[in-house]
Amino acid sequence: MPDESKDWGELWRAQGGGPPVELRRMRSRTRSEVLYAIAAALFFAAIIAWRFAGQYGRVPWLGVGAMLVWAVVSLIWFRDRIWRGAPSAAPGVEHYRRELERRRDHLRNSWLWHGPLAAAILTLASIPTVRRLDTAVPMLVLLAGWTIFGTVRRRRQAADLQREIDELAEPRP
Amino acid sequence: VSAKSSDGRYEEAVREFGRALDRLAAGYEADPDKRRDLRQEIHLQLWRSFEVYDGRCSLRTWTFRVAHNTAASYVTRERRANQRFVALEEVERIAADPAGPPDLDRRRALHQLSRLMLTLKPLDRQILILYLEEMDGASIADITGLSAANVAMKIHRIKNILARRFQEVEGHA
Repeated sequence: MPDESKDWGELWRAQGGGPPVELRRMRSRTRSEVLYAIAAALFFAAIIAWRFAGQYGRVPWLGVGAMLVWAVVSLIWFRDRIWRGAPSAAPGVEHYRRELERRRDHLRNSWLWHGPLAAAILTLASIPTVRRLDTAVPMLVLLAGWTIFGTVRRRRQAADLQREIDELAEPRP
Repeated sequence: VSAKSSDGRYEEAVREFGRALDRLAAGYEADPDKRRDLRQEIHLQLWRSFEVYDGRCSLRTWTFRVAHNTAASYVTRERRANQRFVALEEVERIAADPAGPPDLDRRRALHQLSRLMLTLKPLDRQILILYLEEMDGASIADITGLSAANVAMKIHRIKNILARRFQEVEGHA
């Protein structure tokens, strides 16, 4: 077979270059997910403290304290995903496997960075319902649905990634 | 490696492979704005990487490893929940894209090639890009970390796929 693929190579290499590159830091999606979750939970905690602490005694303060502890734990736990790591010059297959494993673990640990946000909403929902529980039901149902949907979706993504990792381990025939 | 020499290495790498790095970014991101961000990310990581360059592999191998690894990390982060990449084996099995008749117009042919590339799994994409950059099997194996036999098999598949598409292009002309 004549090597017609060389024509594709010429075509590929004839592409123009881009504009000059400015070296600046870019944000990653993983980092954004973690930071947004922390920021959202702290925002809810702040609302709880500001709006209800005076009226309902210790419970809101306990919630706010738990949020702050969780934020610190998350920042430590996810530090390698939040701040940029060293550039990798490992062979491509090794690096890609590590990236897939990291993303899979991130999805599997999503309870850690999403759970406290749910807990904050629950706390917020429960405070005004000391006297009237029925007002919180729609919000709790919405929260439960959102949590289940998110968990199933992330587990499915993690399973897909695991399949891809397994494929890397075995050379395809 | 001193700071000065790491800057020098970076400049040398950009001088020699800058255009190939631009094309590499095009192989991983179709959207022009996002591609510009990816290019910046690649250059930033490359520049940082030379602080720890120890000369154990060639400048070319190092540059392409860092660049492809950065791009693979980007793809892993940015992939949407339902986005599925295919392997070269699958592309070889299925018929040509029925979306429209290919033609000999270079811009359209390049678009067709880019579209094919963007559907591939990052590791297969890496091999296709390196092959189009006229690298031999040994160099590709060195950069990707795959065995020479595995790379040879994948290059054979790439040639089949490209040759088949080339014949289809001629048939439509």
